[in-house]
Amino acid sequence: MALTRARAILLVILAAAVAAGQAGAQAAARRVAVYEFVPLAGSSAAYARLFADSLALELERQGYRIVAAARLKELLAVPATDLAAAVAAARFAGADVAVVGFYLIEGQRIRIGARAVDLASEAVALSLEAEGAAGFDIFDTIDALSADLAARVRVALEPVLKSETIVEREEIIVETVVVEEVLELGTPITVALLSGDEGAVVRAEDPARGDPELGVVNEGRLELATKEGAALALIVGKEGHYPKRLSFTASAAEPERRLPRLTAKPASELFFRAALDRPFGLELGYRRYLLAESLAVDAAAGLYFVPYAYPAFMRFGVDPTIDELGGAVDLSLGAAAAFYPLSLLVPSLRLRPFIHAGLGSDLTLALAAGSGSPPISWTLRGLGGLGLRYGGRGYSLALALSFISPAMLSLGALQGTESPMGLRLSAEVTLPW
Amino acid sequence: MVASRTGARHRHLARLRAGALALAAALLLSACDLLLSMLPQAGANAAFAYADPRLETSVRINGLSEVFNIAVAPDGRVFAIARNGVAEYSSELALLKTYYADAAEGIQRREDGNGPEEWQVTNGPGVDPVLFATRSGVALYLFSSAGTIYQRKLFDMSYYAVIESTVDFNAVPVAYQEEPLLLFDPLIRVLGVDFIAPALYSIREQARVALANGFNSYNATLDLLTPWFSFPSSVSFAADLTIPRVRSEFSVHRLYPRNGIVALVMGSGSYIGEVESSTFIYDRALGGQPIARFDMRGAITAASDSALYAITGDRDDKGGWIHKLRFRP
Repeated sequence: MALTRARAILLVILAAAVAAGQAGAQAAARRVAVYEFVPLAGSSAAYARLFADSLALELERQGYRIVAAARLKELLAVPATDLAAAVAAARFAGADVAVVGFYLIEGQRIRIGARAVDLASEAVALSLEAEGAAGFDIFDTIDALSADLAARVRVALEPVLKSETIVEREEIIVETVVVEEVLELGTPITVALLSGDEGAVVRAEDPARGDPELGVVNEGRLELATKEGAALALIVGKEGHYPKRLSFTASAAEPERRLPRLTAKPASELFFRAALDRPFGLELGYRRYLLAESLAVDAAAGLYFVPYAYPAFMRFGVDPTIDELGGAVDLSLGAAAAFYPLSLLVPSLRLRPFIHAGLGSDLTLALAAGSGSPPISWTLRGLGGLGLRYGGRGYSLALALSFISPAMLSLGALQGTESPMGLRLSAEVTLPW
Repeated sequence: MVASRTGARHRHLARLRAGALALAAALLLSACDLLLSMLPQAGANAAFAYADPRLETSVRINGLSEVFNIAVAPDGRVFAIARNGVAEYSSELALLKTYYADAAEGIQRREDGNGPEEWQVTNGPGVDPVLFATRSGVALYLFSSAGTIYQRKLFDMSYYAVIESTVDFNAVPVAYQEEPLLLFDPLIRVLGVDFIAPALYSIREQARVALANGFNSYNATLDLLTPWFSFPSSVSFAADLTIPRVRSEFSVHRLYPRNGIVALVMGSGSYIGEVESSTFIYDRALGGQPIARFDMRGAITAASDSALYAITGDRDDKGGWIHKLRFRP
């Protein structure tokens, strides 16, 4: 049994040696010079050598002999943009195939172009363009494009090895070695993302892979391992906040980068409102948001003291109609709706204009200094106007200008007379409920 | 019938036009007031102008159409005057009696651009009241037994007129025409009669101060004109009155010399729905600054000794309101 196994191993070794000898004899006719790819339009040069090495490995794996990169550098010190010069240098290096190419990084995509020239005929045997994802996936893209390009070169320039020879050379280990070498080509760096949004989740923008999560902001920062020159496209999100997107190129020169502050989504909230026309009092209300935070409805109750005559410094040149001590206690109840038109277009805006309309009723108990029972009156008025809201981290501030209509319904007032219109300037602070 | 409908339509159209013009003018003039209403004191004034804490009683005027004026008798009774009749109220606004005019004729009313005219109340033959329009010269004899009205036009037009109490149907009022009166004293702005004394008073403008944003203030005197029941021959000082900030387009409309107080009404407009007025109550002996001020739109005011009455008419002319307001909260 052991003898049989030893014999079989010997046969395999012999067969492999013969095959290797055949491959070496045929590969000698094809010697390939792979030039560094040329970055165009300001694209990072970090991938120029990577493309060439990756392609050379693929070709080498398929049986071609590769001219050493250092030798090509000696013969052609400048980037291989001049095809004639590249061909001449390759021929001088003893190659019979020259491969030149370029690449272009446009946002999240990388585009490459390559040519393979048969030096014997000086004909362009292969010319192709392809594109793939950049960003975090650029190394995978380079792998895939290199493999594709190598396969096409092999088709265009006749395989130098027989198919059975390739089958016998197929070793998973070789592929593993290629991957390891590619990973080592980029310069690993760490970028610290700084954020005031504790617990925010940072994701890579890659819809095809479901925007994979990169980490969570903890104690104001997130360490992100990446490569020098990598174009990063990130999405920062947090529960109850509008997500924000950003993109930048990772660089060791800028090891820390501050993430933009997230805008909280408006939610149910309590608000406190004060108005200039009745400064002695406050209104408390509850507000809910509907329709993608573009519509808000609220209800409020307020208690005010309205003196007949304000202190002189609060009159601003207006004389009191009733120049007496005392005043009226006003219990105010109201309901209103507000529309935020820009929220439909840019939801994460912090400064949001709005228009609003509603109804307000005032139950007034006048404090009579002289005679009789205190008069009670009730009025119902319409309110409408516009305002501006600034949303912060959970709270918001708003200023609103409202027209107050003449009384629509009233009791205990001067029925039949024309009740005057008014203008109200109010300020509001909200807290999340 | 057709002519009557056409006339009514023209009246409505004219009223609509006048209303639209008045509204436009009011909007222009009130733009400044509207901005000021954001401020505390102006906001309080606007609130109390409608929900007035001095309001004591309000009653609805039912059964009368085209309410257009008010009269307050020296004894405190209040009369709501409408196109088709008069309603008599006590000083507490309890309805005492309603009198109806001849349905075809109706009660004549006057809107001459000088503001709502003052209606006086005297006693006619017996104890029945007589209402007298001081500019248009219309006398309304109210018959309490039948609830009817005898209407008589005693003269065509005057600046001011007075009819004595306890007169008979042939009584002739004293009519003060404008030209001779102003020749007598060009400072006189309005006349008013005190039937208790009796005495005739005038308001004379002494100084006018133009304030910002289309407002004026005035210094005026309350003067006694003698003799009271004929053309005056002398003027004697009674009190200085300070008229605070009012719209510059306001003119002096009416003067009510009452027991202890004097009420001065300044305003614009004549039709009840468009009248805008400021009524000032002064201490009759001391004068000076007013002890009370009432700013109203769409109401005509008249004072008694202790209260101010304001009457309003419905927009559809089917009734109105009378309000009684005390002078202080």
